Amino acid sequence: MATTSSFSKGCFVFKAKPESSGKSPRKKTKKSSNLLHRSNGDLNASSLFGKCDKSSMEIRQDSYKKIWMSTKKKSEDIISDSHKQLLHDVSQFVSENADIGQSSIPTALVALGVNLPDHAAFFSLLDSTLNAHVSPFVAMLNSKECPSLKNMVLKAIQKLTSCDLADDDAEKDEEADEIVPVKPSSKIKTFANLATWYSNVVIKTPLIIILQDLESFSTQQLQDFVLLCREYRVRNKLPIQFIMGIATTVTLQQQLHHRTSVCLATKSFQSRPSIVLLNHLIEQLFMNSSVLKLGPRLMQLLLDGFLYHDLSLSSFLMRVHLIIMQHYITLPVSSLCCSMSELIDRIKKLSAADLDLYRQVPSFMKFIENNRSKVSLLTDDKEFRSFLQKSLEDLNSYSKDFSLSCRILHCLSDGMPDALFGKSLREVYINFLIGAESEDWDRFIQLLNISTSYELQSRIQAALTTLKESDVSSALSDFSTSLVLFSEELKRLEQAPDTDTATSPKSPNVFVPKGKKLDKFELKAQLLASAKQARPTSKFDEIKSEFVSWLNSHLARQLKSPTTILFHEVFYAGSQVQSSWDIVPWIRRQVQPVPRVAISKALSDPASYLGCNCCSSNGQGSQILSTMPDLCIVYKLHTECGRLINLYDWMLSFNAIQQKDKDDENEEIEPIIQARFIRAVAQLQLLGFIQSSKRKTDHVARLTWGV
Amino acid sequence: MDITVNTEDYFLAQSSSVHTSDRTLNRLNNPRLSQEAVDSLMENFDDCHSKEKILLMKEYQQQFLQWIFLLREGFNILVYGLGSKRYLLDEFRTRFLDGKNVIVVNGYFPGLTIKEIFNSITDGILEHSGTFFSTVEQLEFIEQEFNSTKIEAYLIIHNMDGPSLQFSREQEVLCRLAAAPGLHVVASTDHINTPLLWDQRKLSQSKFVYFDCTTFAPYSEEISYENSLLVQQSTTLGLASLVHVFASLTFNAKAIFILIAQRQLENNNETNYHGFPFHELYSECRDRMLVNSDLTLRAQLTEFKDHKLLRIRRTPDGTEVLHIPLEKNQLEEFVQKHQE
Repeated sequence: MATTSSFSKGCFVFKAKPESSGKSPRKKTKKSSNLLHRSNGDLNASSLFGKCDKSSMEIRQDSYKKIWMSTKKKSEDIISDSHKQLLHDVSQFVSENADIGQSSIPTALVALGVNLPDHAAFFSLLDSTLNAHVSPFVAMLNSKECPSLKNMVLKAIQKLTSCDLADDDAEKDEEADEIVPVKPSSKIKTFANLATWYSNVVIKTPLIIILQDLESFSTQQLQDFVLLCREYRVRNKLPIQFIMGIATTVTLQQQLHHRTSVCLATKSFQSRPSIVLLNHLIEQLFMNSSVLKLGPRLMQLLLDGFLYHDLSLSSFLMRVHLIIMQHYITLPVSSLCCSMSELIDRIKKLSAADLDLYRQVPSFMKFIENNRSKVSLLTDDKEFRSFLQKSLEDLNSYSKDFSLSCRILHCLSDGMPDALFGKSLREVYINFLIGAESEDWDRFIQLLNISTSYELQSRIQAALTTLKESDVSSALSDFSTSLVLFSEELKRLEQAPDTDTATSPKSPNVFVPKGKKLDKFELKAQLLASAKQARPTSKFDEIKSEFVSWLNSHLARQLKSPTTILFHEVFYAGSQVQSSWDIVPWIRRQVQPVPRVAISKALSDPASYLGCNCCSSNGQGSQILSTMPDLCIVYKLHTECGRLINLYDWMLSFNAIQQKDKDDENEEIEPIIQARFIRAVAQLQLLGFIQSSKRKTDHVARLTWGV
Repeated sequence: MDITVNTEDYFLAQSSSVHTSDRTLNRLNNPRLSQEAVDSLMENFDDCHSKEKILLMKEYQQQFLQWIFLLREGFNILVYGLGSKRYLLDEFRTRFLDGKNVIVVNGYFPGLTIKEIFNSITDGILEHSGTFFSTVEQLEFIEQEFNSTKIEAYLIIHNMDGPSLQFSREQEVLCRLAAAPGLHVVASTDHINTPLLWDQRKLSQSKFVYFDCTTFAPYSEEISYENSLLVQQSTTLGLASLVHVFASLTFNAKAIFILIAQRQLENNNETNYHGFPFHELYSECRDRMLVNSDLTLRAQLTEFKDHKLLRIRRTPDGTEVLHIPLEKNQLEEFVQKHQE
C-alpha cells in the first residue's frame, strides 16, 4: 500500500476496489465492500476463537451472538419500561396544553440526572411517543448543533417543517408508488415563514421544541430564543411548546432572567434515579434465569465503574457487552455456557481435547484433589461426560435457588437497622455472591430473635409473596410450605392468645406482693433471683426459635456463593481461572483505562515492558542505567528538576550517564549524544511533559509535578 | 503502577524559586544542530533494545484479530502507551484492511483540519459530488449516509490528540464520527493529558476499547513537523529568517534595523528597558538622513513587523517602543556580521 506520510496533507484515502464493472460506481463499491467484509470477517473470527477445533469455535461464536442479542433486547425493554410513566406524563402535559389560550409558553422541565450518555435513549423514546400520540411537529435540539441563535432558529424551523414532509411522503407513498423526492423546504427560514406555513397545515397540533441539554445553551441565546418564540406564539397564534432536559438541579430562574422566565409556564418532571434502574437491570439480567452471570470480581468492577465514575447505564451495558464477548472468546470452556435444553446435545459433541479443557478448570481440579476416589473421571471420557452434565445441571438449579434465596433474605431483612446485607436486592445478591461475612448473619439472627410477632409475621408474608411471584423449583418448594406453616402458627397465636401471653401482664406484680412493702435491698435480692430463673418460654418464643433454626439450616445452605460450586467458571464470567483464561484484567482496563499510568510506567521502568535483563532496576525505581532507552533516561533526569530545566545541564547529565563506563571524563559532548538528547527531548515535549519557556535562556518548563 | 497525585506537591513545586544555573547551550561546540544533522546522526545510531521491541510489536500484532472482531461488533479501538504506534496501525491497515474503504488521518500533521477529514470521507469514500454550506451540514450528511446505507469505512487516526485535533470541538466531531454505525475508528493517543479532552458523553459516544500498546518506537515522523520543533531549532529558524529578510532590504532599512539592534544590545542588562522609543528613533533616523518623515519610518517598521523581526509595544506611560524578539547572543552575532 502507498505511504501515508506527506508534508502537504494529513488525510489519505484508500478506496475499496470495485469488484466487477457494469453498474454505477456507487453501488458497486457498496456491494464489494460488503462481500469482502463478510468473507474476511468470518475467517478472522474463526481464528480469533481458535485454539480449539472448528465446531467448538462456531458454537461459542453463536452463543455469544445469541446471549448478547437477548441481553440487549431485555435491557432495552427494561429501560423503555422504566421511562414509560415519565413519557406518559410528559406527553399528557403537552396535549393538555395544546390550546393557544395562555400567552406564556407551556414548558415541561424534565430532570434526568447527571448521567448524560443515557439521555439520548430517553429523548429518542420521547420523540417517537410524541410523534405517535401528540403531534408530528417535533424539533429536537441540542446545544452542540446550535452554536448561535441563528443556527438555533434555522434548525428548529427546519426540523419542525421536515416532520411534516416526511408525513406527506408517507401519504404520497400510499397513494402512488412513485415517490417524488422533495427537497426540504428551504424557503421556510424565519418564524414569519413558519407562521404562514402553519396556517396551511390541516391538523393543528402543537409545535414542540425539545432542548436536550438546557444547561449547555448560552444564557443570552436561550433568552432570545424564548422571547422570540413567545412573540410568535402571542402574535401569530403558533402553538409552540417547550420540553427542556435538565441534568443538574439548577433552577430555571438561575439560568434565565426574570423577564424571560415569566414567559414560561413550567411544570417539573423527574426521572427515576439511574441507580434504581441499575438495580432493576441487574436483577433482571443476572438474577433471573439468565445463562451467563457475572462473577463477584466483575460485578464489583462494574459497580465501581457505575457508582464512582459515570452513573451511566449505557456505559454499563457496553461493559456487559464486552464481558459477554470476552467470556466466549477467551474461555475455551465457554462452549457449554448455554441454556439447559441445549446442554446434552453440546456435551455429546465435545471432543476428547475439549473434555481435557474442562478437566483443567480450577474448581474441578480442586474437587479431584479432595475426592481421590473419583480419579477415574480424569481418564474415562464417558463417565466424565455424564458427570459434567450432572454437575452443570446441578449448578444451574443451584444458581436459580440462590437468586431466590437472596430474594427471600431480602424480604426477611428489609428495614432492619444497619442494613446488614444491603438495602436493595441487588446489594444482598452481590453481598452473598462475594460471600457474606458470618458476623452479619449472626447479627441478622439476633435481630430476628428480638423482633415482635407482628414484625415477624409481616416479614414472612413478604417472603411468601416473593416466592409466589417466582416459579419455585423443587429444592425450594419446601421453603414455601415451611414459611406458610410458620406464618399460620403466628396467625393462630394472634387470634387466640394462650396462657403464656395471659400471664405476662401479671409478671410485674411478682416482685411486689400485695400489702407488703419491700425495702430496697430485698427488692434487689428478689430481682436478682428472678433474673437467674429461666424465663418461662412463651409459645411465640418457641415458634421464633424454630424459625431461626430453620433459617440456619435451610436458608443459609442455599446462600453459599455459587462460585464455590463445581464448574461455576463456565457460567460465571470473571471467575478465578488460570491467567491465560482470565478476562478480569482486560475488562478492568476497559472500565478504568489508564493511558497516563502506562506511559509513566514505561518511562520509569522500561524493563517491565521490554522484558530485558539489562534495564531492570531491581526495585530501585529511581535508578538510572545507561542501557535504558534514551527517552527513559531523559525522563528520569527531568523528574529530578523543579519548574524550569536548564537544557545545557540536562544534556550534561545525559552525557554523564552515557559516558559513565568510559574513563576519560571530558566535558566535550559528542554530536551523536547531542542528537540523541535532542530527539528524546522533542519526544518528551510531544508526550506533554515539558514545553518551551521564555523565562530564561535555554530553559524548558516542566508540566508535571510530584511523581 | 500506582500514581497517586498529591495536590500539595503542586503548590510545593510552584512556590519554590527556580534554582538553575545560567549556563546556556552556547558552551557547546555546536550549539544548534539542524534537523538534517540530527536525522543523519540518528540514522547511524543503533538501539540496544531492537530485539525486545520487535517482540513487543509481534505481541501486539496478535491482537489484530480481536480488533477486527471488536470493530465489527460496533466498538472502536484506541491504542495508547509509550512509543510511536504509527507502524503498528499501518501494519494493521495493510494486513487486515487491504481492499476496504480506509481513511488515514495524520493527527500530528500541523495543517490538518476537520474539513479535510470530512472531504476525504465525502469525496473519497461516498463519492459525493455536491458541496456543503457548512461543516455541520457535511457532518450530518456523513452520519446519515453511514446510518442508512450499508457502506463501511475504516478511519485510522494517528495521534488523535495532535496539535490540530486537541480541541473540544474537534474531539466532539471525531466522537460523533466514531458513533456512526458504518464508520470504524482506530485511533492512537500519546499526550499524557489526552483523557481530559473527553467528557462522559464523548466517551460513551465513541465506544472505545482500550489497548496498551507500548512500543518504545521513536516518534520520528510525529516530531518531524515544524510545530513540534524544540527550542533549539525554533531559534535557529528565527536567526535564519532574519538573515534572509535582511538581505533583501534597502540600505536605509538595514541601517534602521541595526540602530534598533544596537540600542537593544547597549541596554541589555537593564531590567526596565522596554524597547527603543519611536520618537527617539525617528529623530535619530532623520539626523542620519535615513528617513524624511515619520510616515516613511512607519512603512519601514511595518515591513519588519510583518516578518516578525520587530515587536511594537506601548509602555504604561503611552510611548511606543520597538523591540527585537531575539536572544542577546544571536543579536550580537548578527550585528557584528552586518555592521559595516
